[in-house]
Amino acid sequence: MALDLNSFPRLAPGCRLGENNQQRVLLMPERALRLLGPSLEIIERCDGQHTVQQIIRDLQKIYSKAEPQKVEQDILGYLALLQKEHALDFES
Amino acid sequence: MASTVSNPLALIAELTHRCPLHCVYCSNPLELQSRVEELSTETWSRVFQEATEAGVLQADFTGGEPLARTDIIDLVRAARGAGLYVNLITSGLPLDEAKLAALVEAGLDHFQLSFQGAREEIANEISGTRSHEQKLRVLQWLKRHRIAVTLNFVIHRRNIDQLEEMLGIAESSCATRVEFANVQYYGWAFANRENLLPTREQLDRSLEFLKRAQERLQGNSASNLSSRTTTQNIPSPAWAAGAAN
Repeated sequence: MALDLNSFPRLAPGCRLGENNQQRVLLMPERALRLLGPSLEIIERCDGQHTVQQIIRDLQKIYSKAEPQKVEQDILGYLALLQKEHALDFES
Repeated sequence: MASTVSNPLALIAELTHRCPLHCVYCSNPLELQSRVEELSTETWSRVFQEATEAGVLQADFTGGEPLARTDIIDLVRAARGAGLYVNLITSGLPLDEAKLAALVEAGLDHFQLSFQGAREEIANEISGTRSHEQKLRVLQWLKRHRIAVTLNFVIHRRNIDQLEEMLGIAESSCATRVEFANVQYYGWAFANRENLLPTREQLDRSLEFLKRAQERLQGNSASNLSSRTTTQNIPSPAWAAGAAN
């Protein structure tokens, strides 16, 4: 199912950011994901205030040297992965 | 020579060996640690601090029944305050709405609720207590809170044919994860293995059902459940399995 570009991703209940050994991590039941660079920048924007489209645009600006299409694809892929894990809810 | 063992990521905190249930499959040691030997609130708080400093990310509150601790809310607060992600592994007893709200407010992240069956009669028989109705009540209360919820169904010969019903309970709840956990044959479970070990045929049927269920969940993003269901597929240890032929 394609992600709605106008939806607002938000960390699912019981999923939150944490810090450990100076590293940001995404914490959820029996799992933790290390967040580095782009993954951190994406997750930080999953606050229910940014649309998927806005997150893509923000990261395309940050990573201006990268191909915009590739950035969009990678972000959509990453968000879809987290959606499957029930780490993200998508609100309208 | 310097050691390069990586730090542990989870701390399993057996807060107590007391429990209001008397499950015939309990893996607690037959010789339980008495209440006087339990670690104090202060000691646990120190342990949580040291754990975070050692790089631990998560605390699993378990037992016995962690809710049997009168200081459970303080313990949740202490663990969360130390920087740990807090999991509560519980039967849902003793608990009321106010206590659940207080646990969430103190920083509880994840509530894992056990089920002894899909139906009241068998569940209460297995747990040796009138517990099933309370668990269903807890499921309703959980809908009002923003925490992660997992349902853990403990599987053995007496309820392995109820998997479909169990999945139904999970799908009509707010849980995003469900675990079908075959009894691990230690402690009481080993003592009762003659009555609990599923037959090979039952086990194969259950694995087939779970495989199909996982496929169905994988293709259905509308389901509340993650398709990454965890299963302890095989009753263990292997040398106990010999008893059931």
